[in-house]
Amino acid sequence: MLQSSKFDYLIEQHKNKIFNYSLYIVHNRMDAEDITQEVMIRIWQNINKFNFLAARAWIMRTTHNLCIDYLRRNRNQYKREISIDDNLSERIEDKRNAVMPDEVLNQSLLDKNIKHAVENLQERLKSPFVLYELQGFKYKEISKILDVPLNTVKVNLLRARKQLQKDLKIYAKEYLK
Amino acid sequence: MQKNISNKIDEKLLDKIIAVAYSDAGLYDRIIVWVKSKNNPEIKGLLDEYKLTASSVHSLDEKKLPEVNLKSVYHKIGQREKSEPAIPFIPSFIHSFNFSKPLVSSAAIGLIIIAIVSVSLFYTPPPEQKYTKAEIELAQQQLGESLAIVNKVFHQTSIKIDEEVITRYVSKPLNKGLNLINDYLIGG
Repeated sequence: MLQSSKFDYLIEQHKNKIFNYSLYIVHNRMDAEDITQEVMIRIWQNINKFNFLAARAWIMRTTHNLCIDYLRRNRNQYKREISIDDNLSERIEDKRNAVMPDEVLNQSLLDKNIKHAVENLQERLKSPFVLYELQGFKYKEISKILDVPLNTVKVNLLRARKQLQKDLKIYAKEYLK
Repeated sequence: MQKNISNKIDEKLLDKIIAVAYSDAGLYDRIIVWVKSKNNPEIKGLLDEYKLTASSVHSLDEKKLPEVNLKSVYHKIGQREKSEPAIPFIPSFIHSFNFSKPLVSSAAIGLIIIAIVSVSLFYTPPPEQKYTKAEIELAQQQLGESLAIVNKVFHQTSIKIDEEVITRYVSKPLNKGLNLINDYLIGG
């Protein structure tokens, strides 16, 4: 019973983080779901070996490794590309009765552009960016998860921020045309 | 890249601006960027651009994992689905605290056990007092005498207030004052 309680707790805490990270890295909802399931099964298999204080980093490192494996396997294969925000039109539809439909649309487009820009970052920039900015991990934890020096995390995060800004400007120009 | 932005903004300053925009700069850097952005509209514009992006990034919503995936996982590992808390009588916050801080919760449980054992081992209840009938009667008699003394004191106090205080210091001056008023009114 304790084993399943521990498992339930870990899943409840991390399921969405695992899923979102996978989604940003592999760009594909179905594969992200598969990876998330695989991570959960590995959590179950290792549930008795866990140091609970380090579980967060272990789980995200496993997720990261599985995503990298997936990307390597699928590098030359046909990509089932589905945007993270493939339900944008539904969201706009849901909010059509909002007070300021223009604002909703603009915000949705901005969100979409940002997600697009994040998705299109290079993998080595994207991982620290998603972990730090979107999932709230600390530099030290990211360094453990990605197995890179602390300074590399900081440098790549800074590069990711600059790259994102640059890409968003391009999107903005395209949008204004 | 920084030269495209401005000749005045070097790479170091740009890094500081970005750190400030994403709210992870130190106090010193924040002050420097704030001062420079006050004097230079280009720096301010750049800071605002990065701030807008940062706030949009931080407000991106988190996608929820579809429930069907959880069902599938529970099925694969041969466990029941998590429909009710694993230990229903323990509130969820204690449950999560127990797993997130196992050392703290173990220490707390240890302390509670030590406290219970210590109390049961070292606590000796005060001895029960037993009195004889004669002692009880003597106590009752003394209590009666004490109450009689108190009653006498109260009675004497009451007489003194009635006769001496009220008559001498209240009634007489009051009557005198009323008589004066009467004389004045009748005389007027």
